[in-house]
Amino acid sequence: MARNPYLAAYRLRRRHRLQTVGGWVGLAQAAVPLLVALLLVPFVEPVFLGFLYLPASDWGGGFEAVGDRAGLLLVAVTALDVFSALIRSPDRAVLDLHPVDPGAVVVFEVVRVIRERAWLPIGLLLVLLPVARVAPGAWLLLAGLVFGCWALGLAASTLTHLAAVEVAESETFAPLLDLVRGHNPRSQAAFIYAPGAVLAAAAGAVLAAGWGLRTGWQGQPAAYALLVVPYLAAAVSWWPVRRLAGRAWFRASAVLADIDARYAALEGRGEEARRVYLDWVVRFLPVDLGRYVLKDLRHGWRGRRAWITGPWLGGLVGLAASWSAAHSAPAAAAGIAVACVWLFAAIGAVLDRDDPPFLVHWMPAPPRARAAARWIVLAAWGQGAVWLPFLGVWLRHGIGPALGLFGTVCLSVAVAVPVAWACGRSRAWGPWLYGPVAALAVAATAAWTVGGPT
Amino acid sequence: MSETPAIRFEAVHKSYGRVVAVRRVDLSVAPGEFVGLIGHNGAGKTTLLRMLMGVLHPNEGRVLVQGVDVHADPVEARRHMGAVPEEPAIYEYLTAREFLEFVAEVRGGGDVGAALELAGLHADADRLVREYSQGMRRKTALAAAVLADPAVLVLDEALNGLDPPSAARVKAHLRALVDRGTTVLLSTHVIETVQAVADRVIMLAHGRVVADERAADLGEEGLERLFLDKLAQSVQAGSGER
Repeated sequence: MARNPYLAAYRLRRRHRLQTVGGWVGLAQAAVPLLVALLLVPFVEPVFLGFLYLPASDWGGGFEAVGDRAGLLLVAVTALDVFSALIRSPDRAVLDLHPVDPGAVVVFEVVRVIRERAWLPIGLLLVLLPVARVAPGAWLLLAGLVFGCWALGLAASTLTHLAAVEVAESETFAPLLDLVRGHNPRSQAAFIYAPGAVLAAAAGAVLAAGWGLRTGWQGQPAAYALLVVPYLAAAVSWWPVRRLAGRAWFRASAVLADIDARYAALEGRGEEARRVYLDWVVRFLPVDLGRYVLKDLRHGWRGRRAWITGPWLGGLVGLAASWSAAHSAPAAAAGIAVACVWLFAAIGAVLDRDDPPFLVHWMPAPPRARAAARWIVLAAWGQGAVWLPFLGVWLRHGIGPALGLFGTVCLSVAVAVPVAWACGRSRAWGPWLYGPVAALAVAATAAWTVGGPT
Repeated sequence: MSETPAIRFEAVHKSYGRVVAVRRVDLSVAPGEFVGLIGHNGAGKTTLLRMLMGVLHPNEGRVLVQGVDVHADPVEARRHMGAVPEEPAIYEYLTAREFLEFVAEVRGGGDVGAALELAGLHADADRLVREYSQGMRRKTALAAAVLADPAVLVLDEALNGLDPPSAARVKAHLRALVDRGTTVLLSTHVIETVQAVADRVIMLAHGRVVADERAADLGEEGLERLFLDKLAQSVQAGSGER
């Protein structure tokens, strides 16, 4: 096999980085997610693996549900990872001045994702260890499904994101993109919807594998053959990647430059004079606090607006979950709302990283005002996650369960915001500290609302 | 038979919504020419060069390097071209020597030792780029651009931040390359740099080419006077248009 120079340079960079930051940092970064996965086990078991307390003959449906969820989660996360690696990669600025082989670059970027995200499928399998305790064979089959879905996520995402470059520039797709793009540049719409397209395209293969797991467990071993479906779909998705990369990889640079320049042009023309999301809050605050609130509102909105509007999207999912007549619906809605709160509060951990170091050094904000401002801003941004599920539960299940959800979510906001702020104090380690704490908090809340830890 | 231009902009137009960065620029640079591109901040120099480097596509028109359309055949166009963008990106966790060896492998050859010599980086060649100053990074990017001896060099503010001895050495090297047939397009704010090295001066203002002169035809202070006159005319024309 021909040497891949991009991969070779990547290995060399990794080696130098580990020598610089210390081997123990690399080890810690690999070990922390796995450790968190092990800590999650007692919380996940009652929520997702409760079926293991039923007779073994009834486990098929549970395996299918777990397999479907794990597979779809992997595909969704991988779609975002591959976008960051392939389209918004920092390597692009280095490589796109040279006559690189786009196919080999794409292979390198996918291998990079595999190396840097290997903890994801392994962590998922660690979370599912209670299955191995009672049914090792089923756990191995789940492992086959998980790795198949990961492979499918990698291949389908690579294909879809490269195709999104073509779609972004295509006149044929222009009317459709104009229909769905909102205020975004047209070409941006192709990238915004690409992860959804990956999930939709991969869902069939994931669900087929999950169904095979259930049917096989229920006494038809031939159905286990369906576990191969994600691998086959991955191979089929990978087939045209090299050819497509030749056309799309270089063009992506220009498409991205256009998108970024359009945002810059938009913001350069009077954006200062225009208001940002929720800036009216400042009117009700003392001046000494208001200036830091306004800074966070503007800074966050202009740098991370997709993330900030996320709570409304999560709130809609919570609302949908609450609309079920099932007795467990308020608990499910609360779980979703809490997960959403912890996810969006992570902005607090990264906002500090966005601050220019010279500004922090020469014009430090008073810590108390800064903390209060961050709390107010995060609480304001998180409203969507609170009110939509609350409304859904109130209308469908009454005010009692709704107030229960409200209290749970408010408690999460009260805990998540200071945790995010505290983690954000460390520019280098903030997200690394916040991620595991958030994962544990969400799992603990879900276990508490659905059923206590075993 | 007419010679293929080393660089050709054919009615190139670039806008971002209502903001027009480059207005229907038609321009040819002959092989072996050293062209200085000057203009005020926001004149469109960087946009023009980014289109030449292939990292930005024109809304209208074509950009050709050695007759190859940069958009249609990006790999072949880049084979003919070495480039230093305004803010060069280099792998932080490689040494300069390793980075240049990587570029040489990607470009199919190049004398790493000579490139390091030109950049004056021999003594620091085995330090990680992350330990470098801005000037040293720019030298590394310059070394990477000239490494494989491309037919066309595109340099966007590439001499900014270099210490005087390094700048003098790089200018002399660029001049020597041009004498051997390499084409250089250098964008800069520094008029003295253009006066010192360029054969031809192109001035952009508000996205348009407003002057295209032989450097030898301009006197000692001619270029600066031309710059200020053309800029004033362009501002008047621009306010007239508005």
